Amino acid sequence: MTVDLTATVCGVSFSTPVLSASGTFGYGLELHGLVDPRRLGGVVTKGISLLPRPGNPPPRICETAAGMLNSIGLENVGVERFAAEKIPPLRSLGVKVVANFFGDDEESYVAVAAALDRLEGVSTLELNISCPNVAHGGMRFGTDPTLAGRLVSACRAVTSKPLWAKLTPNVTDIVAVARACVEGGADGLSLVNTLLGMGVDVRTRRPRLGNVLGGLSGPAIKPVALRMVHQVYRARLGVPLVGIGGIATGEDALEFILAGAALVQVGTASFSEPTAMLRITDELRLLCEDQGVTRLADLVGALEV
Amino acid sequence: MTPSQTSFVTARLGSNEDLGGGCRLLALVLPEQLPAWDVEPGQFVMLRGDWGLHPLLPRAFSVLSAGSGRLEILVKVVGRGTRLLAGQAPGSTMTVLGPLGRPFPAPASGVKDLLVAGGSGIGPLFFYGLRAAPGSDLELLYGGRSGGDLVLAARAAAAGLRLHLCTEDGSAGSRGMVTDLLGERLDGSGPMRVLACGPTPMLRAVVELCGARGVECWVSLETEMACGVGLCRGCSVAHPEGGWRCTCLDGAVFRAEEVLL
Repeated sequence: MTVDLTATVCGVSFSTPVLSASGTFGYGLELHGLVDPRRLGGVVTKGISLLPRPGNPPPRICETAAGMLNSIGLENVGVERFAAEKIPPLRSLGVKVVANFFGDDEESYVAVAAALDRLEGVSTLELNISCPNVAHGGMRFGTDPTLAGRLVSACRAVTSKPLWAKLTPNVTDIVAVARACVEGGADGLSLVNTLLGMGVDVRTRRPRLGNVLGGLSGPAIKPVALRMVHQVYRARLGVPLVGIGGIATGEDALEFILAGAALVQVGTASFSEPTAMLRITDELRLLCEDQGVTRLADLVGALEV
Repeated sequence: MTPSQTSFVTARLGSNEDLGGGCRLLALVLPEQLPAWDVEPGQFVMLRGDWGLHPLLPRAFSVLSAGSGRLEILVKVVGRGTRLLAGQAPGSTMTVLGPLGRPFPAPASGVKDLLVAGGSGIGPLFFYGLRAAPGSDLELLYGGRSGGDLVLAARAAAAGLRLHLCTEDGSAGSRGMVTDLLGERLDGSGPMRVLACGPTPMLRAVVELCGARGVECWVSLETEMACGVGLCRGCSVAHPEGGWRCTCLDGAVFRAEEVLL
Protein backbone atom coordinates (compact mmCIF):
# COMPACT_ATOMS: atom_id res chain seq x y z
CA MET A 1 0.00 0.00 0.00
CA THR A 2 1.38 3.40 -0.89
CA VAL A 3 0.50 6.33 1.29
CA ASP A 4 0.29 9.85 -0.12
CA LEU A 5 2.03 12.09 2.43
CA THR A 6 1.98 15.27 0.32
CA ALA A 7 0.46 18.39 1.77
CA THR A 8 -0.51 21.47 -0.20
CA VAL A 9 -0.52 24.53 2.00
CA CYS A 10 -1.26 28.02 0.67
CA GLY A 11 -0.71 26.74 -2.86
CA VAL A 12 2.73 25.31 -2.04
CA SER A 13 3.17 21.56 -2.33
CA PHE A 14 5.22 19.85 0.40
CA SER A 15 6.36 16.28 -0.29
CA THR A 16 5.77 15.31 3.34
CA PRO A 17 4.13 17.20 6.21
CA VAL A 18 7.31 17.07 8.32
CA LEU A 19 9.38 20.26 8.31
CA SER A 20 12.26 21.44 10.46
CA ALA A 21 11.34 24.09 13.03
CA SER A 22 13.09 27.44 12.87
CA GLY A 23 16.27 27.66 14.91
CA THR A 24 16.77 23.92 15.17
CA PHE A 25 18.08 23.00 11.73
CA GLY A 26 20.32 25.95 10.91
CA TYR A 27 19.99 27.08 7.31
CA GLY A 28 19.18 23.58 6.10
CA LEU A 29 22.51 22.20 4.92
CA GLU A 30 24.57 21.92 8.10
CA LEU A 31 23.66 18.25 8.48
CA HIS A 32 23.50 17.39 4.80
CA GLY A 33 25.85 14.41 5.27
CA LEU A 34 23.35 12.88 7.70
CA VAL A 35 19.98 14.34 6.70
CA ASP A 36 19.33 15.17 3.07
CA PRO A 37 16.96 18.15 3.33
CA ARG A 38 15.23 17.01 0.14
CA ARG A 39 13.81 14.12 2.13
CA LEU A 40 12.02 16.58 4.41
CA GLY A 41 8.75 18.27 3.59
CA GLY A 42 10.69 21.49 3.89
CA VAL A 43 13.21 23.46 5.86
CA VAL A 44 12.15 26.39 8.01
CA THR A 45 15.31 28.46 8.33
CA LYS A 46 16.76 30.20 11.33
CA GLY A 47 14.97 33.49 11.97
CA ILE A 48 16.37 36.15 9.64
CA SER A 49 16.70 39.81 10.52
CA LEU A 50 17.68 42.83 8.45
CA LEU A 51 21.17 42.98 9.97
CA PRO A 52 23.23 40.11 11.40
CA ARG A 53 22.71 39.45 15.11
CA PRO A 54 25.28 37.91 17.44
CA GLY A 55 22.75 36.43 19.90
CA ASN A 56 22.66 36.44 23.70
CA PRO A 57 25.43 35.88 26.27
CA PRO A 58 25.96 32.29 27.49
CA PRO A 59 24.83 30.08 29.01
CA ARG A 60 22.21 29.91 26.29
CA ILE A 61 20.70 26.53 27.01
CA CYS A 62 19.89 24.30 29.93
CA GLU A 63 17.97 21.11 30.36
CA THR A 64 14.70 20.49 32.12
CA ALA A 65 12.63 17.35 32.54
CA ALA A 66 11.66 16.15 29.05
CA GLY A 67 12.69 19.45 27.57
CA MET A 68 15.20 22.26 27.35
CA LEU A 69 15.33 25.99 27.85
CA ASN A 70 17.07 28.28 25.40
CA SER A 71 17.88 31.93 25.21
CA ILE A 72 19.84 31.93 21.95
CA GLY A 73 18.60 35.39 21.07
CA LEU A 74 17.96 34.97 17.34
CA GLU A 75 21.61 34.79 16.29
CA ASN A 76 21.62 34.92 12.49
CA VAL A 77 23.63 36.08 9.48
CA GLY A 78 21.21 38.79 8.36
CA VAL A 79 19.13 38.88 5.21
CA GLU A 80 21.95 39.94 2.87
CA ARG A 81 24.20 36.95 3.62
CA PHE A 82 21.14 34.72 3.83
CA ALA A 83 20.28 35.66 0.25
CA ALA A 84 23.84 35.46 -1.04
CA GLU A 85 25.13 32.36 0.77
CA LYS A 86 22.36 30.28 2.25
CA ILE A 87 19.62 30.29 -0.38
CA PRO A 88 21.52 29.44 -3.62
CA PRO A 89 22.66 25.94 -2.53
CA LEU A 90 19.21 25.14 -1.15
CA ARG A 91 17.66 26.34 -4.36
CA SER A 92 19.95 24.31 -6.58
CA LEU A 93 19.16 21.18 -4.54
CA GLY A 94 15.45 21.88 -4.84
CA VAL A 95 14.79 22.09 -1.09
CA LYS A 96 11.44 23.60 -0.13
CA VAL A 97 12.37 26.61 1.95
CA VAL A 98 10.25 28.52 4.44
CA ALA A 99 12.09 31.64 5.58
CA ASN A 100 11.40 32.59 9.19
CA PHE A 101 11.98 36.30 9.84
CA PHE A 102 11.70 38.98 12.51
CA GLY A 103 12.55 42.59 13.29
CA ASP A 104 12.97 45.00 16.17
CA ASP A 105 10.06 47.14 15.06
CA GLU A 106 7.43 47.26 12.33
CA GLU A 107 9.74 48.99 9.90
CA SER A 108 12.48 46.38 10.14
CA TYR A 109 9.99 43.50 9.97
CA VAL A 110 8.63 44.98 6.75
CA ALA A 111 12.10 45.54 5.31
CA VAL A 112 13.05 41.86 5.80
CA ALA A 113 9.73 40.68 4.40
CA ALA A 114 10.29 42.80 1.29
CA ALA A 115 13.83 41.47 0.86
CA LEU A 116 12.70 37.86 1.28
CA ASP A 117 9.84 38.41 -1.14
CA ARG A 118 12.37 38.99 -3.92
CA LEU A 119 14.21 35.73 -3.24
CA GLU A 120 13.68 32.92 -5.70
CA GLY A 121 13.99 29.71 -3.77
CA VAL A 122 11.94 30.88 -0.79
CA SER A 123 8.48 29.34 -1.03
CA THR A 124 6.86 30.82 2.05
CA LEU A 125 7.55 33.41 4.74
CA GLU A 126 7.06 32.67 8.42
CA LEU A 127 6.64 35.80 10.51
CA ASN A 128 8.10 35.33 13.99
CA ILE A 129 6.04 37.28 16.48
CA SER A 130 6.79 34.89 19.25
CA CYS A 131 10.44 34.84 20.30
CA PRO A 132 10.68 35.20 24.08
CA ASN A 133 14.41 35.96 24.07
CA VAL A 134 14.81 39.44 22.64
CA ALA A 135 14.07 42.78 24.22
CA HIS A 136 12.32 44.22 21.20
CA GLY A 137 10.16 42.69 18.53
CA GLY A 138 9.26 39.05 18.86
CA MET A 139 6.82 38.19 21.57
CA ARG A 140 5.76 41.78 22.25
CA PHE A 141 3.88 41.66 18.96
CA GLY A 142 2.57 38.17 19.46
CA THR A 143 0.89 38.75 22.80
CA ASP A 144 -1.22 41.72 21.68
CA PRO A 145 -3.86 40.92 19.04
CA THR A 146 -3.99 44.51 17.79
CA LEU A 147 -0.20 44.79 17.35
CA ALA A 148 -0.07 41.32 15.81
CA GLY A 149 -2.78 42.08 13.27
CA ARG A 150 -1.19 45.38 12.31
CA LEU A 151 2.25 43.84 11.86
CA VAL A 152 0.91 40.99 9.73
CA SER A 153 -0.96 43.49 7.60
CA ALA A 154 2.17 45.63 7.11
CA CYS A 155 4.22 42.59 6.03
CA ARG A 156 1.36 41.30 3.91
CA ALA A 157 1.52 44.50 1.89
CA VAL A 158 5.10 43.86 0.74
CA THR A 159 5.00 40.20 -0.21
CA SER A 160 3.06 38.07 -2.62
CA LYS A 161 4.49 34.87 -1.15
CA PRO A 162 2.40 32.88 1.32
CA LEU A 163 2.77 34.39 4.79
CA TRP A 164 2.49 32.32 7.95
CA ALA A 165 2.43 33.94 11.39
CA LYS A 166 4.23 31.95 14.11
CA LEU A 167 2.40 32.41 17.39
CA THR A 168 3.53 32.40 20.98
CA PRO A 169 1.81 30.18 23.53
CA ASN A 170 2.45 32.80 26.21
CA VAL A 171 -1.06 34.24 25.97
CA THR A 172 -4.35 33.52 27.70
CA ASP A 173 -6.39 33.53 24.47
CA ILE A 174 -4.55 32.02 21.51
CA VAL A 175 -7.64 32.28 19.30
CA ALA A 176 -7.80 36.06 19.68
CA VAL A 177 -4.22 36.47 18.41
CA ALA A 178 -4.77 33.89 15.68
CA ARG A 179 -7.90 35.65 14.48
CA ALA A 180 -6.17 39.04 14.46
CA CYS A 181 -3.34 37.60 12.34
CA VAL A 182 -5.78 36.10 9.84
CA GLU A 183 -7.69 39.38 9.66
CA GLY A 184 -4.36 41.09 9.04
CA GLY A 185 -3.79 38.84 6.03
CA ALA A 186 -1.90 35.77 7.29
CA ASP A 187 -2.27 32.83 4.91
CA GLY A 188 -1.34 30.29 7.57
CA LEU A 189 -0.57 30.02 11.27
CA SER A 190 2.36 28.17 12.90
CA LEU A 191 1.77 27.27 16.49
CA VAL A 192 3.49 27.29 18.85
CA ASN A 193 6.86 28.85 19.69
CA THR A 194 8.47 28.15 23.07
CA LEU A 195 6.88 28.65 26.47
CA LEU A 196 8.58 31.26 28.62
CA GLY A 197 10.43 29.63 31.51
CA MET A 198 13.53 29.69 33.68
CA GLY A 199 15.88 27.50 35.64
CA VAL A 200 17.89 28.13 38.80
CA ASP A 201 21.27 26.68 39.75
CA VAL A 202 20.96 26.05 43.49
CA ARG A 203 24.73 25.84 43.98
CA THR A 204 25.66 29.15 42.41
CA ARG A 205 22.23 30.65 43.26
CA ARG A 206 22.16 32.11 39.79
CA PRO A 207 19.77 31.68 36.86
CA ARG A 208 20.80 28.82 34.62
CA LEU A 209 20.49 31.01 31.53
CA GLY A 210 22.57 34.11 30.83
CA ASN A 211 19.42 35.89 29.76
CA VAL A 212 17.62 34.75 32.98
CA LEU A 213 14.44 33.79 31.08
CA GLY A 214 14.25 31.47 28.12
CA GLY A 215 11.97 29.41 25.96
CA LEU A 216 10.94 25.89 26.94
CA SER A 217 10.76 23.33 24.14
CA GLY A 218 10.66 19.57 23.74
CA PRO A 219 8.16 16.86 24.71
CA ALA A 220 7.35 18.76 27.92
CA ILE A 221 5.31 21.33 25.95
CA LYS A 222 3.47 18.99 23.58
CA PRO A 223 0.10 18.91 25.38
CA VAL A 224 0.00 22.72 25.53
CA ALA A 225 0.87 23.07 21.85
CA LEU A 226 -1.64 20.43 20.85
CA ARG A 227 -4.37 22.12 22.85
CA MET A 228 -3.69 25.42 21.07
CA VAL A 229 -3.77 23.84 17.59
CA HIS A 230 -7.08 22.25 18.55
CA GLN A 231 -8.56 25.53 19.82
CA VAL A 232 -7.48 27.50 16.76
CA TYR A 233 -8.66 24.80 14.36
CA ARG A 234 -12.03 24.75 16.09
CA ALA A 235 -12.32 28.52 15.62
CA ARG A 236 -12.53 27.88 11.85
CA LEU A 237 -10.45 30.84 10.77
CA GLY A 238 -10.12 29.49 7.25
CA VAL A 239 -6.31 29.17 7.06
CA PRO A 240 -4.09 26.10 7.31
CA LEU A 241 -2.27 25.40 10.57
CA VAL A 242 1.29 24.23 11.17
CA GLY A 243 1.69 22.28 14.42
CA ILE A 244 4.87 22.70 16.48
CA GLY A 245 5.78 21.70 20.02
CA GLY A 246 7.57 18.65 21.32
CA ILE A 247 6.96 16.40 18.32
CA ALA A 248 9.36 13.45 18.57
CA THR A 249 7.46 10.50 17.06
CA GLY A 250 5.12 9.79 14.16
CA GLU A 251 2.34 9.40 16.69
CA ASP A 252 3.03 12.88 18.08
CA ALA A 253 2.85 14.28 14.54
CA LEU A 254 -0.42 12.49 13.85
CA GLU A 255 -1.93 13.89 17.04
CA PHE A 256 -1.30 17.39 15.72
CA ILE A 257 -2.63 16.49 12.26
CA LEU A 258 -5.82 15.05 13.73
CA ALA A 259 -6.20 18.20 15.83
CA GLY A 260 -6.09 20.27 12.64
CA ALA A 261 -2.47 20.80 11.55
CA ALA A 262 -1.82 20.43 7.82
CA LEU A 263 1.95 20.42 8.45
CA VAL A 264 4.12 19.84 11.48
CA GLN A 265 7.54 21.12 12.44
CA VAL A 266 10.12 19.18 14.44
CA GLY A 267 12.63 21.09 16.53
CA THR A 268 14.25 19.94 19.75
CA ALA A 269 14.04 16.26 18.74
CA SER A 270 16.70 16.93 16.08
CA PHE A 271 19.19 17.91 18.80
CA SER A 272 19.17 14.53 20.49
CA GLU A 273 18.64 12.60 17.26
CA PRO A 274 19.77 14.37 14.07
CA THR A 275 17.79 11.97 11.90
CA ALA A 276 14.58 12.34 13.95
CA MET A 277 12.59 13.98 11.13
CA LEU A 278 13.24 11.09 8.77
CA ARG A 279 12.19 8.56 11.41
CA ILE A 280 9.05 10.57 12.23
CA THR A 281 8.14 10.62 8.52
CA ASP A 282 8.57 6.85 8.28
CA GLU A 283 6.49 6.35 11.42
CA LEU A 284 3.72 8.56 10.01
CA ARG A 285 3.67 6.45 6.85
CA LEU A 286 3.45 3.24 8.90
CA LEU A 287 0.64 4.64 11.05
CA CYS A 288 -1.32 5.43 7.90
CA GLU A 289 -0.72 1.95 6.55
CA ASP A 290 -1.85 0.40 9.82
CA GLN A 291 -5.07 2.40 9.69
CA GLY A 292 -5.70 1.84 5.97
CA VAL A 293 -5.28 5.53 5.22
CA THR A 294 -4.02 6.17 1.69
CA ARG A 295 -3.91 9.95 1.87
CA LEU A 296 -2.59 11.58 5.04
CA ALA A 297 -4.20 14.93 4.16
CA ASP A 298 -7.59 13.26 4.75
CA LEU A 299 -6.75 13.07 8.45
CA VAL A 300 -6.24 16.81 8.93
CA GLY A 301 -8.75 17.86 11.57
CA ALA A 302 -10.29 14.38 11.71
CA LEU A 303 -10.38 14.48 15.50
CA GLU A 304 -13.71 13.30 16.83
CA VAL A 305 -14.76 15.17 19.94
CA MET B 1 27.74 20.59 5.85
CA THR B 2 28.91 17.91 8.24
CA PRO B 3 32.23 16.29 7.35
CA SER B 4 31.54 13.19 5.27
CA GLN B 5 32.73 10.84 7.99
CA THR B 6 30.41 12.24 10.69
CA SER B 7 28.00 9.47 11.55
CA PHE B 8 25.05 8.99 13.83
CA VAL B 9 25.12 5.39 14.98
CA THR B 10 23.97 3.05 17.70
CA ALA B 11 26.97 1.63 19.53
CA ARG B 12 27.16 -1.17 22.06
CA LEU B 13 28.82 -0.66 25.41
CA GLY B 14 31.71 -3.11 25.48
CA SER B 15 32.85 -2.39 29.02
CA ASN B 16 32.25 0.08 31.81
CA GLU B 17 35.13 0.32 34.27
CA ASP B 18 35.16 2.17 37.58
CA LEU B 19 38.29 4.32 37.74
CA GLY B 20 37.52 5.79 41.15
CA GLY B 21 37.24 9.51 41.71
CA GLY B 22 33.67 9.43 40.36
CA CYS B 23 34.99 8.50 36.92
CA ARG B 24 34.18 5.62 34.60
CA LEU B 25 35.87 4.45 31.45
CA LEU B 26 33.30 3.47 28.83
CA ALA B 27 34.45 1.44 25.85
CA LEU B 28 32.00 1.63 22.95
CA VAL B 29 31.89 -0.83 20.12
CA LEU B 30 30.87 0.84 16.87
CA PRO B 31 28.74 -0.95 14.28
CA GLU B 32 30.85 -3.20 12.05
CA GLN B 33 29.57 -1.88 8.75
CA LEU B 34 30.75 1.61 9.65
CA PRO B 35 33.87 2.92 7.85
CA ALA B 36 36.65 3.35 10.38
CA TRP B 37 36.40 6.63 12.25
CA ASP B 38 39.48 8.72 11.83
CA VAL B 39 39.20 10.45 15.19
CA GLU B 40 41.85 13.01 16.07
CA PRO B 41 42.82 13.98 19.63
CA GLY B 42 40.62 16.82 20.85
CA GLN B 43 37.59 15.73 18.85
CA PHE B 44 34.42 14.77 20.66
CA VAL B 45 31.25 12.73 20.33
CA MET B 46 27.68 13.27 21.50
CA LEU B 47 26.47 10.32 23.59
CA ARG B 48 23.01 9.37 24.70
CA GLY B 49 21.72 6.20 26.30
CA ASP B 50 18.29 4.69 25.81
CA TRP B 51 16.67 6.17 28.91
CA GLY B 52 13.57 7.99 27.76
CA LEU B 53 13.02 11.72 27.85
CA HIS B 54 14.96 12.90 30.91
CA PRO B 55 17.54 14.08 30.21
CA LEU B 56 16.58 14.80 26.67
CA LEU B 57 19.89 15.92 25.24
CA PRO B 58 23.00 13.89 24.50
CA ARG B 59 26.24 14.67 26.32
CA ALA B 60 29.48 15.79 24.72
CA PHE B 61 32.65 13.81 25.55
CA SER B 62 36.19 14.10 24.28
CA VAL B 63 37.47 10.86 22.88
CA LEU B 64 40.02 9.12 25.10
CA SER B 65 41.15 6.63 22.50
CA ALA B 66 39.87 5.28 19.21
CA GLY B 67 40.69 2.48 16.84
CA SER B 68 39.56 -0.89 15.52
CA GLY B 69 35.88 -0.01 15.76
CA ARG B 70 36.18 0.98 19.41
CA LEU B 71 35.91 4.28 21.13
CA GLU B 72 36.89 5.00 24.73
CA ILE B 73 35.30 7.79 26.74
CA LEU B 74 36.11 9.08 30.21
CA VAL B 75 32.92 9.97 32.07
CA LYS B 76 32.98 11.96 35.27
CA VAL B 77 29.67 11.85 37.09
CA VAL B 78 28.46 15.41 37.68
CA GLY B 79 24.69 15.20 37.20
CA ARG B 80 21.77 13.11 36.09
CA GLY B 81 22.95 12.54 32.51
CA THR B 82 26.45 11.43 33.42
CA ARG B 83 25.09 9.30 36.30
CA LEU B 84 22.81 7.46 33.87
CA LEU B 85 25.66 7.01 31.40
CA ALA B 86 27.95 5.74 34.14
CA GLY B 87 25.29 3.24 35.20
CA GLN B 88 24.91 1.64 31.76
CA ALA B 89 25.65 -2.07 31.76
CA PRO B 90 27.96 -3.66 29.20
CA GLY B 91 25.86 -4.80 26.27
CA SER B 92 23.48 -1.84 26.48
CA THR B 93 23.25 0.47 23.49
CA MET B 94 23.67 4.19 23.10
CA THR B 95 23.64 6.63 20.22
CA VAL B 96 26.90 8.23 19.15
CA LEU B 97 27.20 11.27 16.90
CA GLY B 98 30.72 12.01 15.76
CA PRO B 99 33.54 12.52 15.42
CA LEU B 100 32.96 16.23 15.89
CA GLY B 101 34.86 19.45 16.32
CA ARG B 102 38.31 20.80 15.71
CA PRO B 103 41.15 18.68 17.10
CA PHE B 104 44.38 19.77 18.75
CA PRO B 105 47.08 20.67 16.22
CA ALA B 106 49.32 17.77 15.24
CA PRO B 107 52.74 17.53 16.90
CA ALA B 108 55.30 19.76 15.19
CA SER B 109 58.91 18.67 14.87
CA GLY B 110 61.35 20.62 17.01
CA VAL B 111 58.56 21.95 19.24
CA LYS B 112 58.06 20.55 22.72
CA ASP B 113 54.43 19.94 23.64
CA LEU B 114 53.44 20.59 27.24
CA LEU B 115 50.12 18.88 27.87
CA VAL B 116 48.33 20.40 30.87
CA ALA B 117 45.46 18.34 32.27
CA GLY B 118 43.22 19.22 35.18
CA GLY B 119 41.15 16.38 36.65
CA SER B 120 38.82 14.78 34.11
CA GLY B 121 40.28 17.12 31.47
CA ILE B 122 42.89 14.42 30.96
CA GLY B 123 40.84 12.69 28.22
CA PRO B 124 41.87 14.48 25.01
CA LEU B 125 45.46 15.00 26.22
CA PHE B 126 45.90 11.34 27.07
CA PHE B 127 44.71 10.59 23.52
CA TYR B 128 47.16 13.17 22.14
CA GLY B 129 49.99 11.52 24.04
CA LEU B 130 49.01 8.06 22.80
CA ARG B 131 48.84 9.24 19.21
CA ALA B 132 52.11 11.16 19.17
CA ALA B 133 54.93 9.30 17.49
CA PRO B 134 57.28 7.42 19.85
CA GLY B 135 60.09 9.69 20.91
CA SER B 136 57.99 12.84 20.43
CA ASP B 137 59.06 15.63 22.71
CA LEU B 138 56.12 15.97 25.05
CA GLU B 139 55.38 16.06 28.74
CA LEU B 140 52.06 15.49 30.43
CA LEU B 141 51.42 17.68 33.48
CA TYR B 142 48.48 16.16 35.31
CA GLY B 143 46.92 17.80 38.33
CA GLY B 144 43.96 17.32 40.63
CA ARG B 145 42.75 18.05 44.12
CA SER B 146 44.02 14.71 45.41
CA GLY B 147 45.55 11.50 44.11
CA GLY B 148 42.13 9.91 43.61
CA ASP B 149 41.35 12.50 40.93
CA LEU B 150 44.27 11.40 38.77
CA VAL B 151 42.34 8.44 37.43
CA LEU B 152 44.47 7.87 34.35
CA ALA B 153 47.89 8.33 35.97
CA ALA B 154 48.75 4.61 35.93
CA ARG B 155 47.59 4.23 32.33
CA ALA B 156 49.56 7.25 31.22
CA ALA B 157 52.69 5.91 32.90
CA ALA B 158 52.13 2.48 31.39
CA ALA B 159 51.80 4.08 27.96
CA GLY B 160 55.28 5.50 28.43
CA LEU B 161 54.25 9.16 28.58
CA ARG B 162 56.58 11.53 30.38
CA LEU B 163 54.33 12.28 33.27
CA HIS B 164 54.42 14.79 36.12
CA LEU B 165 51.70 14.61 38.73
CA CYS B 166 50.64 17.20 41.23
CA THR B 167 47.84 17.47 43.74
CA GLU B 168 46.55 20.29 45.88
CA ASP B 169 46.75 18.10 49.00
CA GLY B 170 50.09 16.56 48.10
CA SER B 171 48.69 13.00 48.14
CA ALA B 172 50.23 12.24 44.74
CA GLY B 173 53.14 13.88 42.94
CA SER B 174 54.21 17.33 44.01
CA ARG B 175 52.00 19.53 46.14
CA GLY B 176 50.42 22.47 44.38
CA MET B 177 48.62 23.43 41.22
CA VAL B 178 49.31 22.06 37.78
CA THR B 179 49.99 25.61 36.68
CA ASP B 180 52.95 25.67 39.09
CA LEU B 181 54.45 22.76 37.12
CA LEU B 182 53.72 24.58 33.89
CA GLY B 183 55.33 27.81 35.07
CA GLU B 184 58.58 26.01 35.88
CA ARG B 185 58.73 24.43 32.44
CA LEU B 186 57.81 27.58 30.56
CA ASP B 187 60.92 29.15 32.03
CA GLY B 188 63.01 26.53 30.21
CA SER B 189 64.54 27.02 26.81
CA GLY B 190 63.60 25.91 23.30
CA PRO B 191 60.39 26.20 21.28
CA MET B 192 57.35 25.10 23.26
CA ARG B 193 53.63 24.77 22.78
CA VAL B 194 50.97 24.25 25.44
CA LEU B 195 47.82 22.16 25.02
CA ALA B 196 45.40 22.28 27.94
CA CYS B 197 42.10 20.87 29.12
CA GLY B 198 40.51 21.22 32.54
CA PRO B 199 38.37 23.49 34.69
CA THR B 200 37.94 27.04 33.41
CA PRO B 201 39.92 28.71 36.26
CA MET B 202 42.85 26.42 35.42
CA LEU B 203 42.58 27.23 31.72
CA ARG B 204 42.51 30.95 32.50
CA ALA B 205 45.72 30.60 34.49
CA VAL B 206 47.35 28.53 31.74
CA VAL B 207 46.42 31.07 29.08
CA GLU B 208 47.80 33.87 31.24
CA LEU B 209 51.09 32.09 31.85
CA CYS B 210 51.55 31.36 28.15
CA GLY B 211 50.48 34.84 27.09
CA ALA B 212 53.02 36.45 29.39
CA ARG B 213 55.78 34.41 27.77
CA GLY B 214 54.49 34.47 24.22
CA VAL B 215 54.08 30.69 24.12
CA GLU B 216 51.55 29.22 21.71
CA CYS B 217 48.61 27.82 23.66
CA TRP B 218 45.56 25.74 22.75
CA VAL B 219 42.66 24.98 25.08
CA SER B 220 39.88 22.41 24.86
CA LEU B 221 36.62 23.83 26.25
CA GLU B 222 33.50 22.37 27.74
CA THR B 223 30.15 24.20 27.57
CA GLU B 224 26.47 23.37 27.72
CA MET B 225 25.70 21.93 24.31
CA ALA B 226 22.50 20.60 22.75
CA CYS B 227 23.30 19.34 19.26
CA GLY B 228 27.09 19.29 18.81
CA VAL B 229 26.85 20.27 15.15
CA GLY B 230 26.05 24.01 15.02
CA LEU B 231 22.29 23.80 14.74
CA CYS B 232 21.26 25.17 18.13
CA ARG B 233 23.93 27.88 18.63
CA GLY B 234 23.68 27.08 22.32
CA CYS B 235 27.37 26.48 23.10
CA SER B 236 28.65 30.00 22.53
CA VAL B 237 31.88 31.35 24.00
CA ALA B 238 33.01 34.95 23.85
CA HIS B 239 35.52 36.06 21.22
CA PRO B 240 38.04 38.73 22.25
CA GLU B 241 37.00 41.00 19.39
CA GLY B 242 33.31 40.72 20.27
CA GLY B 243 30.63 38.29 19.27
CA TRP B 244 30.55 34.59 19.95
CA ARG B 245 32.01 31.37 18.71
CA CYS B 246 30.40 27.93 18.82
CA THR B 247 32.29 25.45 20.97
CA CYS B 248 31.04 22.59 18.79
CA LEU B 249 31.99 23.95 15.37
CA ASP B 250 34.78 26.45 16.05
CA GLY B 251 36.23 24.31 18.90
CA ALA B 252 36.11 22.47 21.14
CA VAL B 253 39.87 23.16 20.78
CA PHE B 254 40.60 26.87 20.42
CA ARG B 255 43.76 28.89 20.19
CA ALA B 256 44.02 30.89 23.38
CA GLU B 257 43.67 34.15 21.41
CA GLU B 258 40.32 33.05 19.99
CA VAL B 259 38.35 32.93 23.23
CA LEU B 260 37.69 34.97 26.33
CA LEU B 261 37.51 32.54 29.21
